[in-house]
Parts: sequence; C-alpha cells; structure tokens
Amino acid sequence: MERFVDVLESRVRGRGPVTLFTTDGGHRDRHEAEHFALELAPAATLLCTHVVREPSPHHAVSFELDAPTDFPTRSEREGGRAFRFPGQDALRGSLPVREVVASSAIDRVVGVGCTVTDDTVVDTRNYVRPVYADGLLTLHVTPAASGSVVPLEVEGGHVC
Amino acid sequence: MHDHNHHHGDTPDYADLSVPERELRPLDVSRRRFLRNAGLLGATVAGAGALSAGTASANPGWDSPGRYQWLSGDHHIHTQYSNDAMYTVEQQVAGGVRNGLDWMVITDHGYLAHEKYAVQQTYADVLKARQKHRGLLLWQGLEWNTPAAEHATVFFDCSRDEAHMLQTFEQLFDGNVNGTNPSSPANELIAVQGLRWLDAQVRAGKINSALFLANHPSRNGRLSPHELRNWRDVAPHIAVGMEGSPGAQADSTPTALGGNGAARGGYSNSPGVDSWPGYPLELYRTHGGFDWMTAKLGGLWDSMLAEGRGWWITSNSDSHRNFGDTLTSPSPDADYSATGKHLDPVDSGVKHSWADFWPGQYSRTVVGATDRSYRAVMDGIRNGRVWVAMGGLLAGLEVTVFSDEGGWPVTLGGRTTVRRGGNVTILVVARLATRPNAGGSVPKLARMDLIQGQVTGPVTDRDTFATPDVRVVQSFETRRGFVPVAVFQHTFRNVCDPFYLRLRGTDGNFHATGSLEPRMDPAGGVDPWSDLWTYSNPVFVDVVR
Repeated sequence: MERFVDVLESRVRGRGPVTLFTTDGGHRDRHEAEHFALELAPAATLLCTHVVREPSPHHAVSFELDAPTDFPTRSEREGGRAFRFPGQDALRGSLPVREVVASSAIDRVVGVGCTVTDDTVVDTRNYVRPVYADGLLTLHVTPAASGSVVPLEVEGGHVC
Repeated sequence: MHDHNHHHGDTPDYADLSVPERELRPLDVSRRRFLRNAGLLGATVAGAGALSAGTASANPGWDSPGRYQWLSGDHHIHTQYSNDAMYTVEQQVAGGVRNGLDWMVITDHGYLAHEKYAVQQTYADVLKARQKHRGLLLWQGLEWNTPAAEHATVFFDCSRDEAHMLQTFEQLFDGNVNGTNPSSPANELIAVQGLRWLDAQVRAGKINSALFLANHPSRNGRLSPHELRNWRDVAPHIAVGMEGSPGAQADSTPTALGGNGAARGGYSNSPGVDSWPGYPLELYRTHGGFDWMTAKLGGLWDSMLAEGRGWWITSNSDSHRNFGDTLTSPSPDADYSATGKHLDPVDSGVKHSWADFWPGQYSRTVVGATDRSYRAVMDGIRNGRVWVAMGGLLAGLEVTVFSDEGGWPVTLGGRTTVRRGGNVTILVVARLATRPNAGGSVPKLARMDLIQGQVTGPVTDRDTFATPDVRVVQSFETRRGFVPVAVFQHTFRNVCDPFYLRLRGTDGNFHATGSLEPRMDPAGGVDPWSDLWTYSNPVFVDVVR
C-alpha cells in the first residue's frame, strides 16, 4: 500500500493544482454522458461518470481542470469511473502491473477472482476504465485464459 | 406411483390427504381447508398454506425419486417473435426434441411489438407444434422485463385463455412495454404488483397456476437480494426460483474452435446504472458456467435457503441464435417493430460463431413429475424436485433422504423431520453418462460434493447475500464400476439443529486455485464442454425437540 501512496504523491506533484468540477445532465446512457462531458470540458485530463441512484438511476459527470469554471466543484471521487485520465494513451497492448501504475494515473490494480503482483501482465485490450475505490484510482482485473489478466470493464459489454 | 392417488378413482386431489398441500393449486387448498374446517376431512395434513406452496412444507407422503418421472426441459427459449432472435417455433421445438427434451417453454421478450402483434401469432405456432410433437409438453410463456430488475420466465398452466392472459400481463406489467425498467423503489413495487396480479388470476380461476423464474440473475448486477426475497414472499407458489446457470454458454467458445472467445452466459459486464451497489465484483462473471448467486458457497442462494424456505435453481439455453448454425435472419431488426416477427431464417451456408446452444443441447433442467402432464411438471418445479446439469454430465440423479424417525423418505425439494439427536441419511444414486454429449465426448463425473447449510431462520437484513454455516461435508470420488452408476451415502448423526443439504458435481477439470470450488471463468475463451457442473436443489431437515 505504501508503494501506491508514493506513486500517487509523485504523480500529484507532477500534475500541478487541479479542481474537480461536476455537472449532472441526467443521462441514463453512459456513452451519452461521456459525450456530454467531453463537449463541456474538452481540455480536461481526467473525466469520470458517476452513477446517481435518485430519483431514477442516471449518470452525472465530473472533470478536472486547472482553471476556474462556472461548474460546481466536487470533492467526492469515490465510485467515479474514469473514462479519460492521465496516461491512458500509454495503456495499450499488454504490460505488467508495475508499468500500468507507473505510466498512468491509476493508483493500483486489484484482482477480482485472482491475485495480482507487480509482475502480472495486464492485457489492456486497449480499453481501460478505472474507478475510484477506497480513495484510489483502481483498475479491477479478472483472469484471462492466456494466464494474463484483463480489465473487468469490457468495451461494449452485453447489457440487453 | 403405488402409494399416490393422483387421479385415482373419484377422489379429487384436494380431498386426498396423500397429496401434500404444497402440490395443490391455491383454489384446491381452499377447498381442502373448507372440507377440513367442516370436519369432512382428517386433520392430519401438515398446516402449510397455499402461499407456502414453494416453500417445501412438511410432506406426509411417499416422496422417493422412483415415484416420479424425471423429465428434461428448458424454460428459456426465443423465437422469431423476439426482437433479437430468429428461429421459428417449430425449429426450436424440433431442436429441443432432437436433444432429448420432454418439455419446453417459449419465452420471447416483452416488447411493444411483441405485445401488440406477436403473442397471438406465437400461440398459433405453438398449437401447431403441440399437434406435431405429441409426446412433448410445450408452453408459451414470456420473458418478462421485470420492472426494476432482470428478465424472468413467466408461464401459465394451460387454460382456455392462456395467450390472452399472457398478453394482458405483458401489457400491464412489462418493463419494456411500460418504460419501468430502471431500478427504483417505485418500479420494484410494480414488479410486486405484477406477481400479485398473477396470484389473483390463479385465485380467481382465470389461470390454473403460474410460475416465475428469474433469468440470468447476475448478468447486470441489478437484481438485489431484497427483490428476490420480496417476490418469493409475495407469491411463493409462483415466484419459486432462478436460473442457476445462464444460457448463452457457447459465447465463451475459443476463437480457435470457431467461437466468439467471449464470456460464458454473456457475463462480461461490470457495474452499470441500474446495478445494486452492494455486490462484490465477482458476481459479474460466471463460475464454472454458473451464476455467482448459485455457485458461491455460502452465497446468496444459500442465504435464502438458510431461511428455511424453498428457492430453486434451473438451467436453460436462452437460445436466440445457436452456435455453429448456418441459418441467419433475413430481416433487419427494424422490421420487427412493425410486425412483431422476423422473417423465417435462411441458410447462409456459413457457420456462425453464435453464443447459444439449442434447447437441451448443453444445459437441462430435470424435473420430477408425477406424470407427463403440464400440471405435473409445473408442480415439480414449484416443489423444487429439480436437478440441473451441463453437457450431459449426469444421465440421472436419484436422491433419497431418510430420517431414523421413520416415516417416508423424501427427495429433492422435500422436507423431512428428525427428533433432536437423531440421524438423517442421504442416499445418492448418480447415473453416469454412457453416450457422447453434443460436444462429442462422454462426460465423466469426477466428484460429487455433499453440501450442508444450517437453517438459521428469516434474515433481518433482506439484502443479505451470504450465510456462514455452509460447507462441503463430504466429497465423493466417482469410481466407475461394472454398471454406469455411482452410489454415495452419508449419515448426519446426532442432528440438533435444522439444516438443508444439496449436491454439486463436476467433471473435475477446473477449480479455483487450491479448493473444491468452481473457478471464475476466465476471459478470452473457455471451451464450455471442458468444464461441466451439475447441481441439485436442496432437501430440508427439520428438528423436533
């Protein structure tokens, strides 16, 4: 855990001061919420969707900017799902956990149905969407047939 | 059969005390109670009411497996009358018959065009298929978009107006038709009202009986524990269980074998907008092809059984488009909305990597029925007299549980009683596969696990999805003898507290590391024929002091 905290601090040091802003367009469809956020804040380096259960389940969005805006600020990241984040472009193909953590804003990689070490290979499938859990930007991974692990969130999941 | 008087002489079931009350329709329970209150019947029938029909009430009669015909079926099958499927009713029925099924339920999706145009067309095709396949029991049901929740199979015992009743139900309560799919307390209430409505139709005699089974319960993580419990409690003779394993088991077939290399059951999701936030992420994947709610030892299913009430599992195909088939739908999805029907499929000449198996080809739900009738199969499901298997892993499963209290033995879904400190013995006769399955090999049962769970009574938190006192009490290695039968026996001695027992078997090919438990199915391709499991429903043991 200490290692993750070190990595997190070094990254925060490198990124300069940012503010998290939020807005709620009431989108039930997550893709639509993402497009909505990207149109509002094309310059943001970190954008998240957040599930809001009331009054009816939908998505709010949040985004980090280093300049003031008219949007309300947000302090709660927990549960947010980052669809754009620093270092995302580096997460292509297969790479070990230590490299995932070193080269992106992802703080930790957590195995679901498996355990991971720094050497575990993550097959990113070129689609990585970490979530804030326990205050850390977390990539959940599941076992894959090849012996590597893959992100829990699969592009275009079977939702019907 | 010798001790059972169904349709024997002139005595109706409700007046025949050898027929347990849980096997009666609510109307007949009322009749029996009326007679009993009038002093016209003996008072020996255990006092569970009609509304506990699905809850494994005490059984005063002979209940050994040999009393029943064990009929294989599938309650989750789509046709060209679904917005996302393509086969004719006859093609699906012929496929099921070819794969050895005795009963099938057609369950096309609730949908505006389905309710408007498809229900009656389907019914005409179902009537034709019944004429053609005389030995088969074929229902027309519905895959209900249960408001706020997942899909569910709903079907009725045959009656005069079954298609009309189905259409009315869909119109009133389907989440797609009415826009009530999103998870919310208000929509949850509509689901409960739907079950109450079904219950009222049964009580009014408009339908003889109805069943509700939650399909692919964990696929989107949106089916909360309290919703399952609410349904069970509001209509226990209708809402009786869930799919233990989802269909779409071919979806994980590796690309090297011509498959999608995707996920068993299509379980490749992660938490979404409607997901219940309390679940662990393991829920979103299958485990040995089974849904987490069933596969997790001491998990949600066990936590419901620990309440001492019945909740039963099944296994089905969810067939939309079948793996390796060359047929394909010629009509674009848009056509469906105008007609409620896709044009008959045409042969493309190319094998497709589709996700499903034919009904009965891979998964089957085997029901102990007193006879080969619509009512008897529904009663068998209602009473949990059901075991399930993938890939023909078992040819037969006969389970008998004896209490040294004497009295009749019971089988799956049953309930027996022992005096405190007494012994209970389970005898398992597993009939092993002798012929190749549809995957081309003769599956070998490597092991059966006898699982015991303590009955601890109703939960205080209705979102409970775990219970601590569940364990594998004994694992039986299968030794193949001269005859293809494996016999296991275990005695629970000095029984002091109520419990249930259930069975789980495997071909032994894959486990979670260092354990007897199924592994989480890995991403990127699993040959579904390489990892086969079978599960039984439970038998409950009550203790009297």
